[in-house]
Amino acid sequence: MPAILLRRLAYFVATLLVASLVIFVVLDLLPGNAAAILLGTSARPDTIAALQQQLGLDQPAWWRYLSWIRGLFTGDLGRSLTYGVPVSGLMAERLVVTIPLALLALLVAVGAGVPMGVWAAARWRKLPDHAASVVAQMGIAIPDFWLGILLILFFSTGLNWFSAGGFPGWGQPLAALKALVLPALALGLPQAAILVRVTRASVLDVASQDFVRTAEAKGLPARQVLWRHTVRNALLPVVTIVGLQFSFLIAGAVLVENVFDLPGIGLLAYQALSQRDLVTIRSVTLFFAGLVIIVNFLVDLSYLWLDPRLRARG
Amino acid sequence: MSLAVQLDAITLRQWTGRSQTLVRDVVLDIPDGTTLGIVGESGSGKSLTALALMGLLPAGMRASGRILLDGTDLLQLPATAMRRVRGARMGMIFQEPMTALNPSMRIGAQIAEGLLAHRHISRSEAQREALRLLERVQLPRARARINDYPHQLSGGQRQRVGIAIALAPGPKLLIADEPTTALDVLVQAEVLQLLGGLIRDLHMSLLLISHDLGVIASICEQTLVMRDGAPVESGPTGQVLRKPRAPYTRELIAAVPRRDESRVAPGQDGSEAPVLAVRNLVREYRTGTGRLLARAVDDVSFDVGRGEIFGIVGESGCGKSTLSRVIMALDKPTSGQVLFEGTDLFAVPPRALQRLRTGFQMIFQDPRGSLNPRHRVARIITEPLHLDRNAPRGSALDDMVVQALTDVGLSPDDARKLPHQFSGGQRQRIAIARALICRPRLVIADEPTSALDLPVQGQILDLLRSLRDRYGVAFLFISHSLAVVEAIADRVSVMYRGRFVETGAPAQVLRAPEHAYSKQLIGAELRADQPRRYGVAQALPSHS
Amino acid sequence: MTTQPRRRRFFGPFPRLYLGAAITLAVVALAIVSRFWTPHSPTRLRVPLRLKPPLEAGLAGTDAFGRDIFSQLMMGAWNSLSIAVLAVVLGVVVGVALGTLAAAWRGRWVEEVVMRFCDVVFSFPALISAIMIAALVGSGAATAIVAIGLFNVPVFARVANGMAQPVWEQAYCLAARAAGKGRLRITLDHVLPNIAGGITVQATIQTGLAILVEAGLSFLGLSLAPPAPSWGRMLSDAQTYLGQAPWMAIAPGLAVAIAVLGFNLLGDGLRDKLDPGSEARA
Repeated sequence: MPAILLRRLAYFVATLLVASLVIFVVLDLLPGNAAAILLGTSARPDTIAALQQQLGLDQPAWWRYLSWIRGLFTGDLGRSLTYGVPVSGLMAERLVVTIPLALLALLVAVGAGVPMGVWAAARWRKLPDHAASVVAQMGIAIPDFWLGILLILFFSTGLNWFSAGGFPGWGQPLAALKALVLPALALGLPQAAILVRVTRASVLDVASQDFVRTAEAKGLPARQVLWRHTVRNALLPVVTIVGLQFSFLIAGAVLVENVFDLPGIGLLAYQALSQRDLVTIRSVTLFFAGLVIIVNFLVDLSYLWLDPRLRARG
Repeated sequence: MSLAVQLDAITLRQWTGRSQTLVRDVVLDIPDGTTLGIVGESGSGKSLTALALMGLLPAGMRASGRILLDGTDLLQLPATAMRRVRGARMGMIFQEPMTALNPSMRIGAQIAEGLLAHRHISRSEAQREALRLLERVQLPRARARINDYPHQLSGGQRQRVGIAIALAPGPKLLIADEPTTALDVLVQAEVLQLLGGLIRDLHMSLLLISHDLGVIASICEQTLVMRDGAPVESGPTGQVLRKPRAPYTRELIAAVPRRDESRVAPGQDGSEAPVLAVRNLVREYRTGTGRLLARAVDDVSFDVGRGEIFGIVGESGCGKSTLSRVIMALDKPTSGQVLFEGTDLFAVPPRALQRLRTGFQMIFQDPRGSLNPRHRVARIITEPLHLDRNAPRGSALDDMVVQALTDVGLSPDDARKLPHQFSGGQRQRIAIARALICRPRLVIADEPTSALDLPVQGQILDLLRSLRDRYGVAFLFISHSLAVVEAIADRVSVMYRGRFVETGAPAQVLRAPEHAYSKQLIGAELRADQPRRYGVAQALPSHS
Repeated sequence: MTTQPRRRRFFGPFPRLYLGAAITLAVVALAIVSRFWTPHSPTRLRVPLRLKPPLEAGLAGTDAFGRDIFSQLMMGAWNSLSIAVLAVVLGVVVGVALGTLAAAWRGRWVEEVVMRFCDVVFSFPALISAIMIAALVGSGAATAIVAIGLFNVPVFARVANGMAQPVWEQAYCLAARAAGKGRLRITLDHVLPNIAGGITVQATIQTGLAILVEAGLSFLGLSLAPPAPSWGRMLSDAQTYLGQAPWMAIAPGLAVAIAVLGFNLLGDGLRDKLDPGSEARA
């Protein structure tokens, strides 16, 4: 077993490195002279050279790449070109908003989507199943940021139950959580709709397999057949989809933070882009890519637990 | 325990609202401690009948009539009451051991589950009982394996677990739906012996469903023959199989491939060079680091003469499929030679090898998978010709297609059709036409009749023989079925663990074998004309 | 009562196919028509008519500058659809090629390389790629197409590979090899025709997804630049006037949802038609 884990781990690290290389090439090598870009076309050569030296841009490419990677471990990600403050600090203060938001959204998605999918499958072809399918079909067509705007329209502007955006900081935990409710719903509900469909399909697929018939032939109660035999084996594709959808989830965070004016990493990415703050964008995109890679790694690991057949093969 | 069934009909409601009757007028009786077999081809309704008894019909199907288990009509029972009957009083085992067990649950737990659902015992008690059951079904090293997952067991072992699961709550009737069809000959014999021993020791009744007359004959006291959803004939097994009354039953029995003793194989002129010569062929599988995993083909040598039908018989895993691939040059051997008409296939450059391929072709087991569902028959048949630059085109090509189709007993109109419009036997004919279109001198047939119904098997064998007589094609005929190989081969070789353990004329090898393994194999063969051998305490007086 | 599902249909054989086709056709028709005609000019400012609700001025009302929203929606349909379709075509062409090649040379280095490449590209959601590309060369339709197309390449590579592998295991591919055909030839003759249906289904669904993503990109200003109307940007502009003119926010979002719904239903319906066995999949 450990051999498989080691291999997966090595693989995960390798993917991270390749991703970081890609980001570096696109955002550091290709743009050319960042200093010149920053200062504009009318700048004088010696000013450019001075800024270059200050930003460490006069060093060869591989040195810049390695020092960036090293900075990931030491916590030094350079200084934002726009704000002048350390990028790591910037990201840290934004992370405390985005991570909870992503987790809440994931909770909404899985908590609402999976049980509903199982419920729909258990009432296959009856009214609840049709209703669930229709709702799910509509849910996956709705953009998360539009849902966010609608939620604001309805619950904030309309009913005044929630504020229209902003984040009071974790100093007031309850208010902070309240501020995350609508964004988490906007982010999580469309994902939930996808999970309803995937779960339903997977459960139906497994329900027609032979071993479920064996379980029924044993005379087991229907509920036990459903949960211990059918659903247990149906989870694998569902987990796969959750992993895949995660990348869409965090992309959605960029949009939703924008709509709700939440000071998270997503908003930071957007702001950095408009300022062409390449140093910040570099680390922020690595964060996003890295998050996706980590989640997929965890999903991979969970397979080993979910499907005993994979433990032998790896 | 007594089961009296009067099944008026099993109907299927389609989405258009119309009903289709799938099974009708089945009457059967299983008194205490007896064995009944239902035999028929695929589509005869035998499996549906069994599912109806258990209340496991697929959604949309309904059974009407009376199913009296110890006087209670099962069809009138509400779902919760039926659940208590299922498993506790009637148990069932299914055909595919590979998929019949929950892959993510340990086998001990799966057995214990059935116990806990019907009896009020503790979990540890159930585990202990599960272990006892595993030992009773003779699973080797049961104590060590009780916590294994299904994928860690072989097919035969999984079927034993399936039996243990069915037996756990202590039912008095066991229903077995094609329990040995997916198993090898030797394993089949073991499982049937186990079943026979269990029903004798536990004084249970057995309802066995199979398409194989030999299996039915080996264990069932009574037999019911079904066809197209209706019963044809029933009675004591000896009588039904030896003195059948209905014409269909006679057809079924006659369809078991039999050797035509009167036909003489074309004389082998010893001076003629063999069409295929295999010399010391070895195919090893090694890990990346060079450690030997298996030797699928272990020093095999043999010749196939011009126009000869050479049979290779063996169980799954003996290496016959690997052998056929290497001979077809679809896989490279570790060492040894394959000489086709004198040329070493692995010593020539790839281009030359491609040109040689028109001389040797292949037919596969699964008629559905061997034809591209999107290509029309004409295109399928002419595929091997693409290598031949001098191949005819246009109307000459059409003529060739017509000739090929008529050769295999199909009509020229079939050239424009798609595979799904044909039956399994017809698709196999198309595959044969494809193999023969470039007039090869050798055709390798890998289990060509195994997936077909009995009567169709006989037809295909006749076809192959007639093609050999007409075109002088040699066949390398691979099968796990002794009867089929005996019916068609001029010479036979028994393959075991990558080696040919015995070679010779069919009459000798398959009736009077010398090698220990051959003896075992032939001894395990079940034939319809043999007396019942499993589940008997002593030989019963025959009921004619 | 058994939980074994079998087919049973209520509203005719293929309800989703017809409904999806109808919606998609309607959206496409509006998009094409917008190239020649719209009820009003989508770009002309008519300040006296600003912020008028639907039916009072135009089918969907007017925006902050008095521009007719419905006309903007029509032109936005064209823009969204063309970007989405081009991106998916890019994904299909490159992705299917990679995926089928990996399946044809299974077990060799080609498969490894393709799969690893897919894994890396998958780590970059389309939005993130768009940000990176925009940082490099700026925003625009090309940026959106490349970013979305790039993400679609591993999607189709995986799907094509997954569908091609079972085909290779069929005996008719072995028969073709026995007939002497090379792997490339077999891919063209046997594999592609048998996966074409599945790829089409996936492409339809991915187009819906691409429309969704493009809306997000233009919401952030990473796609087409003004004054070209685009649904996402209309939503972005609508935020400021949420209280006064809610229809500005509802209309474009609804347009996106309807378009995506149409493509999804169409894709599901096609799947129902082509592969009835998988009808159980929602």
